[in-house]
Amino acid sequence: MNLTASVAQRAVNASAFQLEAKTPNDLNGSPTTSAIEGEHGLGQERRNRFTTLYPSRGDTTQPKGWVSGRIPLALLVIVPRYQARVLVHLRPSVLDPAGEAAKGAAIRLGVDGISKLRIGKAVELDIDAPNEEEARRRLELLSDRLLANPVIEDWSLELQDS
Amino acid sequence: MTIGVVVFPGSNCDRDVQWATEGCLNLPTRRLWHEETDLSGLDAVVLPGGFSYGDYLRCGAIARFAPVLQSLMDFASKGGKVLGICNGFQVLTELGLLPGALTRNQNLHFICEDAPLHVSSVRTGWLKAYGNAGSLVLPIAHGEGRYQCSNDTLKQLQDDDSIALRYGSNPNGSVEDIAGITNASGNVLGLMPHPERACDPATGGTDGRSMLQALLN
Repeated sequence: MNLTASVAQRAVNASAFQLEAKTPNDLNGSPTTSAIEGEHGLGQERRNRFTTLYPSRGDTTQPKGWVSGRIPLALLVIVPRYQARVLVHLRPSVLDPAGEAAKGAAIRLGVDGISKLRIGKAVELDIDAPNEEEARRRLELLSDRLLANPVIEDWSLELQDS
Repeated sequence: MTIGVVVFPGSNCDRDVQWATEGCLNLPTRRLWHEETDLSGLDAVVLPGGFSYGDYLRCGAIARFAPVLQSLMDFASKGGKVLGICNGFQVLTELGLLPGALTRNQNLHFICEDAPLHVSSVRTGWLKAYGNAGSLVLPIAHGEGRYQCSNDTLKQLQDDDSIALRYGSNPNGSVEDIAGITNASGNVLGLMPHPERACDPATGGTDGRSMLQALLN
């Protein structure tokens, strides 16, 4: 496969990556080779739609220039995938009654020496973004606006190439 | 004059509110599916109790992004009356229409009982009928009703006279015994107790009637 220089650079930057077809045809739901073969795990209804749109002579539903149903290689864009873990925890000033209850149980279990036990949550995500900075920007927005409530919770972000 | 009652997937007090406003108080009421965005013709909107979107992530965290609530922000900013009961109160804090947050009850129990309450402010029309320092009894039913806020926010609430209702005997560990608050302009009230469950003598008294009556006053 021929990759352009910038695309190749992105591939080097990410230890793993996925292929995304960014042609207008693909986004509009027209057939791609893999879609016709059902490799996307699409539901039957969607798969049927692809099948019925399979290009044939005289098919006027296809945009002009559509020939074989294959994606022109020059339009392939490679987007790195990042694995993220957002840790959400109650702010230190907020009482954690569930943590207190678990601490009591830990002591009853006979585990000595626990002076603090606080319960938070971990949210694991895979995110496709052109670069790490952009992935981080999106995840910070997500964490601040949805995953954590800044009134009572703090969060931290771990990010790595997948 | 019409009241809208928002119905989220997982709301379970929406019918109770309609039963109270329409059935007990004879106030015109219609229910609003969470995907609706047209609030025209409504004079007040109630966010009912329940478990909106399963209360996944945090109570009210996902409901905050419901289409109907984007319209509600406009509605509230134009002075429309908004009443959030229980889960509705949690949604209002997530939405930022009211400050603070509601967290797990201090004793970890889901508390379902009648709660004695004191009116803490009659600055707004919501509680005028009860009189200053008036007392009332309303049912509470929640696992996460412990009101929390920063010291600065608490001071702001006090300065604005926005603490509307306090518990007589704090059941959940709320700061300053807070059971309900209003926003600074007074058109938004959020509270954990359920006024709609106290509108008929046969089912839990009638102390909630004046609060719901205030929706259209």
